[in-house]
Amino acid sequence: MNAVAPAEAHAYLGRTTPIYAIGDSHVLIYNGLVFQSKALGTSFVVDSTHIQGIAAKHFVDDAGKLNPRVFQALRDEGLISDPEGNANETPDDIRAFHRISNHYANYFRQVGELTAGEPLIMLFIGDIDLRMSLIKQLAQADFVLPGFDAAMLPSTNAKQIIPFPLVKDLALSHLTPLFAGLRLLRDAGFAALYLHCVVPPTPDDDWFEGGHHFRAPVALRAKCAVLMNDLMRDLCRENGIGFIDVWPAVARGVVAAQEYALDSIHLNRAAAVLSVQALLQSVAERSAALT
Amino acid sequence: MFPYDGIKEYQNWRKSVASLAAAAIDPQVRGRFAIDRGTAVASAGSCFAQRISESLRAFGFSYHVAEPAPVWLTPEKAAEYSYGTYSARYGNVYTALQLLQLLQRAMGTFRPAEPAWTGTDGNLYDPFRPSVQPNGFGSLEELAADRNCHLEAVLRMFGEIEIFCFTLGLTEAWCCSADGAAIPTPPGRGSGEFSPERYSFRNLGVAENLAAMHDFIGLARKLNPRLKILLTVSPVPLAATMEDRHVLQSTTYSKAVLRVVADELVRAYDFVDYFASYEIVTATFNDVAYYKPDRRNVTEDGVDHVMRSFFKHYAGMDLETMVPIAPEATQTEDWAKPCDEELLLRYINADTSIA
Repeated sequence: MNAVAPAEAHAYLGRTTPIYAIGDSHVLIYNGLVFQSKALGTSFVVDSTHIQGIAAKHFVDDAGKLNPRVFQALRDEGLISDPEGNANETPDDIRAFHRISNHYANYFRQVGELTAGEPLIMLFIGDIDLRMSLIKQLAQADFVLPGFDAAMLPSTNAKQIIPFPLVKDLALSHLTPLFAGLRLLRDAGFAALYLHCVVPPTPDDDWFEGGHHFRAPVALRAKCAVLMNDLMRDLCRENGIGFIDVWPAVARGVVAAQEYALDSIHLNRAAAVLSVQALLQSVAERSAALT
Repeated sequence: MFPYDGIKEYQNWRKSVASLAAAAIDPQVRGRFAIDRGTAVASAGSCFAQRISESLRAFGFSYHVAEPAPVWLTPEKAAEYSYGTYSARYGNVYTALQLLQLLQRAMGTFRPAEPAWTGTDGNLYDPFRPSVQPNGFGSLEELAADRNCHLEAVLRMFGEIEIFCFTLGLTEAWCCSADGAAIPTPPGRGSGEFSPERYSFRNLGVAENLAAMHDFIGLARKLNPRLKILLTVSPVPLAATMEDRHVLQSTTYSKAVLRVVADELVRAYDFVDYFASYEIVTATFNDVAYYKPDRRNVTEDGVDHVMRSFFKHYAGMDLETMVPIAPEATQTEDWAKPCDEELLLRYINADTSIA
């Protein structure tokens, strides 16, 4: 066995900048996707970390501490300092690794080739709250979402209309802990933090029922998703967090376009490409604005 | 022989009233039908009807709610949005005419022309239940969708229940001049705009109340031939009168008319009964204990006396030995929803030019 392999057989291409996709199962399709950005003058690779079952409602606990599994995911990627070395508990004071300047941090950044700049983080959180809680809790009912045109969708035939302010409060009860956590991360030094929208629903009620063991009409599912995104968009704006919205590209009306649907929940790789391109475009615009 | 020789104890004032402590007086002699914990009971009416529904729920009776609160809603929010206040979200149904038209609207045989009322907050309010939810509705679409579901629920309710309790509250009514649609309160405070051409005041007499109740009973029994009806008269005095006379005179007139109507109906139908909650609160000479300082709202002691009699005669139960199964069903004043008449009183007191 040769100690050194021929260079021409295994060409070294240099480094790519990671994009950390962290969150629920939507992140899986992104793993390993590589992008070359002319605008940013570098290449990017998506590194996905799946936190199974992570919900917006549990992003921080009642005391306002970051969910330990989110903390671990960030720490395992080398994005967050863990001065206490305690994997099971979120420390009281979390700090972005790239902001820390000491011998230990500098050594790991250089040797481990961890990111020295602001890491690009794209979070996928909210869909579990949407499907397993919000839609489930409203499944026998309906609500009127201001500005939502349900004319093209079959009627929900609901027996009850839930007043919109109550539905909005219900959705916000899920998003409030998420945004408390996002503010915490932002204040810890993560400036390039992006929240991905929840994706448009499948138009097929049977398909949805097959995967969820309860039935919810597409008009209700779409309405809930639009509401969730409206609230997330507003909260992102208020909190200085990026929001990746690919609905205009991957939805036909208010349901997932067939060419972008992977199954009854997820979008496919083609849609993932659009999401990352939207993210990079936002980064490029932000960089241009800064320079 | 003297015809009064054989009268029963309860027929004798000295034995059934004068010789008893106020709290022991029970003007109800018997119930015409029985209610057990499995009997599907629904209710509607004026403010006092809320107290009966709360007690039924608290003691684990099958209080039928056709529009239940979402399970994730706190009791406070549920009350704010009129879930479970009555069997459906119809708000206060003060008059016999309102009750008849509610059922006619649910059956689709009466479509009032009255449009939604716009509030000072820009939101829209349902004229037939203006305080059913705080801040009204965000759009006409939402109001219409909610109203359709509500009326469908009302129709289902009348088809499914066994006993309907109705508390006759008022004779004074406001109606839309265009088609006679009865509304619980006139517009002009908070939502809608009053004009004497568009809205007319009516003080419904015995004949008009009876006619409305006969029509209602006919329709309800057509929907549900086994339906039984339990009538009460609200002991709560009028918040205000539109008649040019003392509000106390209007109160006694109104209660007298409604009491006559209830009695006429009991005589006319063997499936209709009258429960003497009105007499318990107003005529057991215990008004200091049974009315709050505002001399309108009934105290817990008053409600207890009423329910003691109710459970004894309709459920064969002794309230003293009954343990609340769902005590939270009895609202505390902190989050009890004020009824429309209570709001009317507030509106009047907020603007002395009306007084």
